[in-house]
Parts: sequence; structure tokens; C-alpha cells
Amino acid sequence: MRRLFDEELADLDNSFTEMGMLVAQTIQKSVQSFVDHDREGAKAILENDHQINEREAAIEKKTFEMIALYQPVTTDLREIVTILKAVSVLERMGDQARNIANSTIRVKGTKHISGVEKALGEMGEQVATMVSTVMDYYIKNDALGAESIAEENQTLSKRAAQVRFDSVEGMKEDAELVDSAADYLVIAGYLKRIGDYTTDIAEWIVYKRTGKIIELNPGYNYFI
Amino acid sequence: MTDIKQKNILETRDVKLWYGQKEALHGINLNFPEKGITALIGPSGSGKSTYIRAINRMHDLEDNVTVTGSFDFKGTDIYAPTTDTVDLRKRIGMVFQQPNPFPFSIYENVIFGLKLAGVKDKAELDEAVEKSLKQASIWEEVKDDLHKSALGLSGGQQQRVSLARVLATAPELLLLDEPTSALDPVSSHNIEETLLNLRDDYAMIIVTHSMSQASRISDRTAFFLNGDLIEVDSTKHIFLNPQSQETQDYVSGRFG
Repeated sequence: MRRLFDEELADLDNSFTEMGMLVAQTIQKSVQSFVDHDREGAKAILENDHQINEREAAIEKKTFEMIALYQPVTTDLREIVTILKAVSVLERMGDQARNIANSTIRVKGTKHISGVEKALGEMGEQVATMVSTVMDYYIKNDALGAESIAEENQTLSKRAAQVRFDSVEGMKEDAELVDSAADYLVIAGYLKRIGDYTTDIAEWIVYKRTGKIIELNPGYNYFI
Repeated sequence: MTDIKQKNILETRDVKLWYGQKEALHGINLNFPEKGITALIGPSGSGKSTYIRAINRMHDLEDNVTVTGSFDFKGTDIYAPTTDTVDLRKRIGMVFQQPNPFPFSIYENVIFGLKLAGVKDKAELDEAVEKSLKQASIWEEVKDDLHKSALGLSGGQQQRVSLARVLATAPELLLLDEPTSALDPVSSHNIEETLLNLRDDYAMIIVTHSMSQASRISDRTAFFLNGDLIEVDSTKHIFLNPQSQETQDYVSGRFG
């Protein structure tokens, strides 16, 4: 019985970390297609979004089954609850990637601010790395590492604030930039949300390791 | 681990017990608050039943058993030579694994302890029978058959009558040694409900092999292993975030 449970828990763990990697890749690709003005790439992301949703549903179903059949306690229960909570966070990250892809497809502006687009590309790289890093902390059960994600998220927030500043300045200077710059604001917002989500997952990793529920997102949160 | 909110009804210090030369309990320090359920869990041979039986001196009946350490039951030294075991077992009632009704009527079963204590008044006895059968959640099922033999009842009903017999003497502490392990799930559920109803008024110590029973009904859980008390804490803590790896392994089903 215990052996069976351990095997199923290991499988669940694998599906969860695989889903995390898939989400990290999707985010990275969605930002890349935005920066490259690549509508085909963006469409591919929308077409593949169902994969993330299906994985979420399958993992949730599996956690319910394991709770019902094995009534896990202590670290086993915390691991399953962590997966159950974090898997919805991953799915919401996937939704943000889909939002970015949608923005890429409907983008109207013909004039761009290349500095801001470069910054958004860097933000995308950073946040995708944060997602794969936090999944790594999950695998290693590293609560201290997970907590350090909060600092990383601070630098992401600063980058978002810079994008906001540069976009607004650009709009003030040149009305033809408004279409693009409005999109930049929205994309920076999506990326910042994903950053906040990585700290949500980090909080659950801390819970899994220590049994303590903590808050890693600082209280103040700008629009972007 | 002392409970600051409640006074303790029983404090045991450095309890050691030998079966002949073999030390079965290695110095248990454990206190029990005045109200609520404490579950004793642990694999077979861990000492939990040995410990609970030491509380009302059940080992007196066995040869070759030595008990040391202090048992302070509301100021009474349980093992003092002057302590009367009949009086002690009236104050500390015990329910066993196998339902053990005496081979006479339900009524006679329930008043058995009171009769021993010299109560003769019919009205007083009637009242005690109704009250304790109600407390044991079996009044409705047997009120019309009080003078029928208790042996005709089902196992679960017999166990609740055994509980009523213990409750009739108005004990201050209830010891329950695997009270549901011989019962079917419905009867077990009835006993658990009964214990939950009693937990605001009584201090109870229950030995159980069922992790889910311990987590469902107890306020505190104590984990025994190889004659040692490994950990005692609120049941929530033991089942979510225990201090000791051994506790964690046991409640997660990794051994035992």
C-alpha cells in the first residue's frame, strides 16, 4: 500500500514538474513572438494552450484520488496540497502567456520603441527563468531558495516600472507610438503578474518543506 | 508538554515498568488535562496498552510486573499502599477491546458498580441507568429491554452498555483500550460519536491502532515506540507537522 502510494506520488511529482517546464517554455515563446512581431508563433501558443489546461485537470484529478484513497498525512499531505495549489498557479501563468499571444496577434501599431521591446524581451527571459528556477526549488525541496525568488521578483517589478515610464514618455513625445506603447504597458503587466505567481508557488514550496504558510508578495503592488 | 489552559487531571513522571527482567516502559512523562480526548498511538509492542493499564493498576493482577515512577491523579498517589483499587477504578473507569457485558440483564450490568459501592435506593439506581445509557448513546435502543440479557445485544451495543456501566459510577477519567477494534464500522462510528459527546465533560485516554480514529476524535495524540514516548502534541500538529521523523513515518504508514 505504502509502496503504491510512493510510486503514485513520484508520478504526480513528475507530471507537476513537467507541466512547470512546459509553462516556462510557453511564457518564453509568447514574449519572443511579441518582440519578433511573429503572429504565427503567437497562434501556435493559443493552439497549444489546451495542453496546459488538460495537464492541470489531470493533476487535480489525481490529487483528489490520492487524498480519497490514501488519506495522506504530514509531509505526504503537504506535498499533495502543494501540488494541488501550485498547479492552478501554473495554469494561470499559462493564461498570461495566452494573453501575451493575443496581444501579439491583434497588435495595430506600426511604429515601435525598440528599447522598450528589448526590455520586454529581457523581462520575458527573466520571468521564464524564474518559473523554471522555482520548479527546480520544488524538486530540491529548497525552501530558502524558494524564498529568494521574492528578491528576483523585485528586480522584475523595477523593470516593469521602467517599461511603464519609457512607454508613457514615448506616447507623450509621439502620438503614433500610442498603439504600440499601450500594448507594452499591458504586456509588462502580464509579465509582472507571472512574476508574482512564481512567488505564490515559492510560498507553497516553503509550506511543503516547513508546514508554515508565509507571504512572499509585498503588500504594495503597482498596476504594473 | 503541559497544557496551560487547563489543569491536569493526571500527571505521570518517569514511569517505568518491567515484565520480570524486561523493561517495557523506559520512563514516560505524560500529563492529561481535565477534559478532552488523548489518543495513544504506536505499533504493537510500543507500550501504549501497558502504560494505560498501569494508570488504574491493572498490572496488580499479574505476577512479576514492577511499576516505578509517580502517578499523581488529582493529588492521589495511584500506587500508594493506602490507595484502594476498588475506589480508584471507580474514579478511573476502563473500557476494553472486547465488549464484556456480565451475563445478566442490561439494567443489572449498568448498576453493577453502584451496587458494589453500596447504592440501594431504587429511584437512584433507575436514574443512574437512564442517565448513563443516554450518555453512552444507547438508551433509545434498549429502554424497552432493560431487563433482557445484555448478551443478546450486538457487539457495538454491548460495547456501549459496557461504557454505560463505567459511566454509571461517575468516573473522573476514562481509559479506553482499543474500544472499537472488535467492532464493525457502523458500531465504531457510534462509539466515536458517543466519545465526542462525552469529551466536554470527561478526560479520556484512548489507545487506538486506527490513525484515522485518532485524527478524527482526539484533541491530543501521544506517539509511543519501543517503550518510549516519542512525541505528544495537539492531534493537528501530530498529523500535519510532527517534530520527530519517527512520528512522521508512523502516522504516514511507513512502518507499524
